[in-house]
Amino acid sequence: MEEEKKRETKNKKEKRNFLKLFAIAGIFAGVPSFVSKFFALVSKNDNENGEEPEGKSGEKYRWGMVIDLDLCTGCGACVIACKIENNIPPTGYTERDRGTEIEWMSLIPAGEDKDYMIPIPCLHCDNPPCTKVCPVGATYINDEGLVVQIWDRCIGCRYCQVSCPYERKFFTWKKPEWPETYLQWLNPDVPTRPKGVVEKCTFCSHRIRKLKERARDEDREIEDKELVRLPACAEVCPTGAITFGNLADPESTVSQLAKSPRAFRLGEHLGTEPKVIYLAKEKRKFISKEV
Amino acid sequence: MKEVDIKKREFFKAVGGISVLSLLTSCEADVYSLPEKKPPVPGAEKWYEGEEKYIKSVCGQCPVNCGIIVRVVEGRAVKIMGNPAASPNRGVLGPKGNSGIMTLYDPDRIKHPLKRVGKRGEGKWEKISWDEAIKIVAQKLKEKVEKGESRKIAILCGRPKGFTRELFERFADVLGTPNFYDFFEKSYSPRPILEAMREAFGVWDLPGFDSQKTQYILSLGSAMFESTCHGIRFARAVYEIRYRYPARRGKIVQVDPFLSATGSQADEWIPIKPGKYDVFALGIANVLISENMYDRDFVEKKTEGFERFGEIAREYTPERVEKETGVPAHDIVRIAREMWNSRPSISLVDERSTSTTNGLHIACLSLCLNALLGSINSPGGLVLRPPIKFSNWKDVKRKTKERKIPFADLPDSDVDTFLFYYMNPVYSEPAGERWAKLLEKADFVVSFSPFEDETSLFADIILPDHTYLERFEDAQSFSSIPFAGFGIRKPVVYPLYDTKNTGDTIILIAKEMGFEDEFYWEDFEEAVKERLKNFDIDEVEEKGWWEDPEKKWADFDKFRFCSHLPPHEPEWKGDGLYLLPYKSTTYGEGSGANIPYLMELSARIKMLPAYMSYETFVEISPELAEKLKLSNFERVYVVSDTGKIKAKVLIKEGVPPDVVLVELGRGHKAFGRFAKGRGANPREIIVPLKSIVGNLALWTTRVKIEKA
Repeated sequence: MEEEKKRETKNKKEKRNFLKLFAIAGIFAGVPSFVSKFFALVSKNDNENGEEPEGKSGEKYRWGMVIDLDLCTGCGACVIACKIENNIPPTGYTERDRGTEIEWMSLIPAGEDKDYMIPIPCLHCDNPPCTKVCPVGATYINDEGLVVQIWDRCIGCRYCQVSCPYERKFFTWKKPEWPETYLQWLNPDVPTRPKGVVEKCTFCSHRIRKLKERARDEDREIEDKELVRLPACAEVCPTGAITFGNLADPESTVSQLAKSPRAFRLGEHLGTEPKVIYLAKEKRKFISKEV
Repeated sequence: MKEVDIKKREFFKAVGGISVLSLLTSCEADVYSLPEKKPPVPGAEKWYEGEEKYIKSVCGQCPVNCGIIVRVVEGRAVKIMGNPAASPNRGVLGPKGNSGIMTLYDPDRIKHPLKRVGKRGEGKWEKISWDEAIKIVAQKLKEKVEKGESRKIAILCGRPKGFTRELFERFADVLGTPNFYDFFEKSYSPRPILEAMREAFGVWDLPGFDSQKTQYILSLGSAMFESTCHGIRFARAVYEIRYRYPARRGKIVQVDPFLSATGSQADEWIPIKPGKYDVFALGIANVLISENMYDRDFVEKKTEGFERFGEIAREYTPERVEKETGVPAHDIVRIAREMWNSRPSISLVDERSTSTTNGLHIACLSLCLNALLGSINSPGGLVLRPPIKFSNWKDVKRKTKERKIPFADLPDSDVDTFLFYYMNPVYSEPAGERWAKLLEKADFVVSFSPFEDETSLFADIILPDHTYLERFEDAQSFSSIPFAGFGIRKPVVYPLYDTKNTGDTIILIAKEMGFEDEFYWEDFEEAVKERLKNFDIDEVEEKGWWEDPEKKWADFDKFRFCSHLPPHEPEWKGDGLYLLPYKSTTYGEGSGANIPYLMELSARIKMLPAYMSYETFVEISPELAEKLKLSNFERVYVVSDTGKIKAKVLIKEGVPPDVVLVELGRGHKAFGRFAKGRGANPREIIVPLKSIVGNLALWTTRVKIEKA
């Protein structure tokens, strides 16, 4: 009996994998997105046997982050680590560089007197305002909950930048200018962006992808402890204030932390449903409504 | 077989290429904007395509020496991460450490030895070979020694610990000059804390802190989340303080003249008049003693001089302390009680809090508070570290018995030959132009800096060092780890340019001068390995760090309550507002100003747009701004008795009306394209005043603000 069951699930898995492959091939071949959506739906139906953890969207992964403001000291290590990991160019030093800074992870003032800084990446909202305004489908929320931006497809209209209440989207006003020696440290995993597109935090999706590939090669599931410090910002945080993980898994560290009574989200009243959850004790009442 | 291999490899390449292509398309990438051609990598023939390595080494961006793991792709250092095995940082890394690859790939590094051709300070150079450069230096030094003028040689090696420093000291001994200066002679160094430790315990070492168990930190102006040597360890301790016990949350109290970044992240900020920490500490001691809240057992058994200390403390009632420091009496009583009730608690000072002329008193009294609370050599308290058991080099005889000229007096002395390593006094000492004048008329100046900094501009010969990612040496941490430990720093990439490890350079110079017996090694690596005979070097290299497996503390005989009490009034020159220059969170006292990311971050932390990070701001209180009718970003002069600097006004809550703040680190006159000529250096207008321990104090000057 059991063997049969196993075989059944295996068959299902194979079928799903095949469908997924097909879906990927569909995207690759430039088939309109509804086709792939259709396939995604088919594979989702396949999921309903309950063998996979139930997330909000029924997917296996729903990436999220928890930032503990009681631990954050505002040192800015996450900002620097992010810039280096994701090949973000320096801003420049003249008046004409005003407003052109790109900081996927940045420190913003918060609190009653705006006297301390809180780190803020892209919040990867479940109900993102930015994806709804894109005229070319360059930004959308993918099936793992990441709000992604396709730089190739972006026409630089900046609608999404305007619509983001958290100002987490950045327009590349100029071609990135690095001194020649700086080109040597550029991360080969992340492409540089051309002039005239909008770019944003990816939750270090290239690292997630690498981890998935490794887990697949070793024929195992991704473990929670591998995820906790996965993005560049979480990896370096001196106090361990930043935690990353899978919100679809109720046992994961982020899911546990997100249940804390100290948890809140930025701009809750906007209805954007961010997947970056902040923890703070007394600071909470000051921060949650601003932005 | 070979052919097959190649074919295999090509096949894999092809497969890899396809998969990369498909990955790129599926992950919304942009292929065409990648730089077409990357600059060549040195040692490229020793790497194969697609090679990715993770090499363990030790950071060198500041003296803390965190353990790092560097991701090296095809011979290029791409990312620096923390090494979990290293005791100072345990796998995490601060902003400075993260930006280390930009020190390596700085576009304005010195690429080969240089000889000056223009005037001093002009920056005109000629390329020379290493052999020639070493010959010139050796000959010049030899002349000096033979003339019997070796005491006119000064060796400045701005590193606190390590064998490179010891090699320089040995070189000074061999040359016969008493004038050897290290990190602790600088103006903004924890020298007062060292002196206080000697006063109290008779050891010449900074205290360690068992910070992972501490439950209450009274920080007397310590910039523990910003720039201090404890930084990364206390950042890691925050978790323990706040979450170790679910029902009882520990506390961090910051006593500081202004609301610093540390103050804003602490649980409580207590404003105090600048430089009055010693009086405040006595006030706490008064409450602790009068309410019988001190560790009797410890005081009786392990201390001496308590009676006299008690007598002095008795005079400093909370009411009197309130009058002198401006801290309300009830707060003093409350903090003293909290400290006692939530032990293990510590009192903490650092180089910022001791940067007034009475720094020694502040450091001493902070130690006394720890002794009263019984937080010495106890879990969660201040801890004495045993020395690491390195074996020694063959002894050399010290040729001179003269006393060295105090560092602060050097500009007025007749010393005329200088060797600079990790020191930039023209920029980083108060009134640096005194140094510029001295170096202009000097006989011979050598610099080992990999960057063309202010002091190097005055050099006759520059022998460029490797950056820390290219050289081999030991790395002894300067931070407050509570047990013995060290790491080995090793090259992660092939040297980018024709530079040399300064340890090797010194050995070559010494050999050229005929000191083969004293400098008997082939190269510096051999010298380091001789010292590390007692350790399994391969294992240390593999782990990146060695730490005492028993994690033992050093014993001490008696703690001496300091003898030079009562407190000392800090000295201030001029009248008007207190000028408090402070070290930036991100790039220290200016040594990271060649890294644009750190510069930008410093502005972002002040809530300014990034492009403004290259200007100097004078931070003033809203009250003062109203009084002087100043608005944000208005240009002003900050005027002291000795000069003035240009700055822009930044109105900031949390600055008292009689204080102005200026961040250190800008105003370089050299040091590469990102640092040169941006902003102003507040040290130019600081009146040089010696503190009790002999360093130049930084918080000495009162200034006026004038509209520009």
